[in-house]
Amino acid sequence: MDFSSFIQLLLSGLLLGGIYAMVAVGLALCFGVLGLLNLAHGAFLVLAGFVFQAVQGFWPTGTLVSFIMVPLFFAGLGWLTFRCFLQSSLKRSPRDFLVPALLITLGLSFILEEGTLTLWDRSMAGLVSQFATIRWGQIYLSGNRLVVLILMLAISAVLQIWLTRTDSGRRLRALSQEPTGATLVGISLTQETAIAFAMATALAAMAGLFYVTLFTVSPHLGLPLTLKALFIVVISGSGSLTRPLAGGLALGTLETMLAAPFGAHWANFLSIGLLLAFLCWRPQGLFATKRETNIG
Amino acid sequence: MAYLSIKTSKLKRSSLLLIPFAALILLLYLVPNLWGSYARILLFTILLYVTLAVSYDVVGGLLGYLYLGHGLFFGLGAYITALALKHGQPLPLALLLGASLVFPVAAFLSLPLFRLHGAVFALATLGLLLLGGQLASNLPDLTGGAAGLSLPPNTNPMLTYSLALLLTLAAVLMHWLLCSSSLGLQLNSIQENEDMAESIGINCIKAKRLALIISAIPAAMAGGLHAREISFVIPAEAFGLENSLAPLLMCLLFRPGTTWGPLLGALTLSTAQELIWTTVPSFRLSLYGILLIFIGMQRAKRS
Repeated sequence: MDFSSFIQLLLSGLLLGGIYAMVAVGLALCFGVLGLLNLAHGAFLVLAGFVFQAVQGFWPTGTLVSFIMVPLFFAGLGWLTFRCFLQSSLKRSPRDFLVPALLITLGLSFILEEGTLTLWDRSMAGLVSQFATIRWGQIYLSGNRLVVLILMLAISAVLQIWLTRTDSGRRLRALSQEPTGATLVGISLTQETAIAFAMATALAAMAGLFYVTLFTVSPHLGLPLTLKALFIVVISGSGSLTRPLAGGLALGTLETMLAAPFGAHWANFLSIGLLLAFLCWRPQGLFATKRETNIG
Repeated sequence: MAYLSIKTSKLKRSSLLLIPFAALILLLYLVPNLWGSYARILLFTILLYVTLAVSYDVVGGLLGYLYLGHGLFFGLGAYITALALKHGQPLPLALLLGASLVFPVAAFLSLPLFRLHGAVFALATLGLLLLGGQLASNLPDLTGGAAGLSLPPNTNPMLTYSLALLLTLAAVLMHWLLCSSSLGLQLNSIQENEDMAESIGINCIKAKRLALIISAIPAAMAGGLHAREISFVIPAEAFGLENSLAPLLMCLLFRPGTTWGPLLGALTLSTAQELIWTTVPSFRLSLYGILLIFIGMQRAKRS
């Protein structure tokens, strides 16, 4: 492999990794604050991709507006989902909540998937390129991809600032570190967790917009994508957003690098296999010390 | 001694049930001859669901783990049996081959899997199921890839049906005996409190591994029979999520950890499916979704 094709692969790997990272960060937000492994995340992502495409179809010039409106709509949808299905179960300690929550979110993902299938029964290809392709020697980078990469980095930065610098972000972090203490000083568990879930769903929607811009989105894509990202989240352990971010980028890069010699279908197999092996090797998370286990 | 007395009294009580039971089996055997092939196919499907649900219950009910990998063994069994049939082996031999090859796979996979608990165990088994599907579509020379494997037509459908009846009987009987056996009690105590079970001298890893193997083998044979019945195997269906989810729902619907719970669940749900899917075909996944949400919310309230 010569140098320029290596760089080319690295770039597409980072783009795929950026999607994984966004999905993983959304899931980590849910996991860290709510102790919830959300299997419906990918279904929201796919649905957002399709909705975005549909909006594009009859309003081609409104890309920027729909880039803001679609995630907002999904934030509302996530908030509603949380209030209807998950909130009533949240009063227990997160440890008891994990397994029932898996059942509930798996059920949700099926309903969302079937809804997507009923409304659109075929795959959707990416956007028509709106930005010029950049050429640098042997290396090509489509303008769309560059914009997406910059946007993904910007969103991660905004999220990080929100979590560390604003009051509402601090409340969430307090809840994730010490739920009882946080509740005692007057932070509302249900309100803050509903906000976290809505944020995570909005993030899934944004990842969906980027996904449909870069790749082809199909109704069945949700669950495998979610599962990979969930593995990353579990391996990273709770209480951090940078580790799932890095994990997602690494997985995307690795998958693209593996796809070059083995083909895309084996790359997918290898990446899931590798994540599973990691999980069984360090079930308590890669960064946990021997004593702390984040999940039962 | 107490444990022994439970067992003998259970056997004594059951001898009374033997006559209606034998009548039921005879009836099940005769129905296809009386009502033709639709009844046979319907009953065949229900019998396979009963086998899957009852065998799922060993891990999902007695042990109480949330387990999403049942479809992996179903799919493996389907592929191995289909390949054996394609090479001209008779059906019973092909099924036995499937079971005997799935045995070491289950024994091997259970080793890393049972390092995990709870939600992570569930996710890992789901991952294994996806891996199985990927593997089947990635080896086109062996399995025909994503396009699948076609078998020669089923010349003796009554043989398939009788074997399904036999398999279901064996699975239900096995589960019923397991419930009162020491392994069944061990699994129950692991479900109650794993640390405590370990501390009173139960070899938890061994018990859990045995449970997985016991649950995998009927699933593999059910997969083999399914492959024979429809004469066609594709990865999307053999390793489809539905083969894991249907037994899970059937098991959790009533009383997991008993024999009648998954049995009744399988009868109810497969009848409901037949009724719903013949009238509203696009409601396939949502039915599962709604049931999953319902069961999940119930569980969350209880725990």
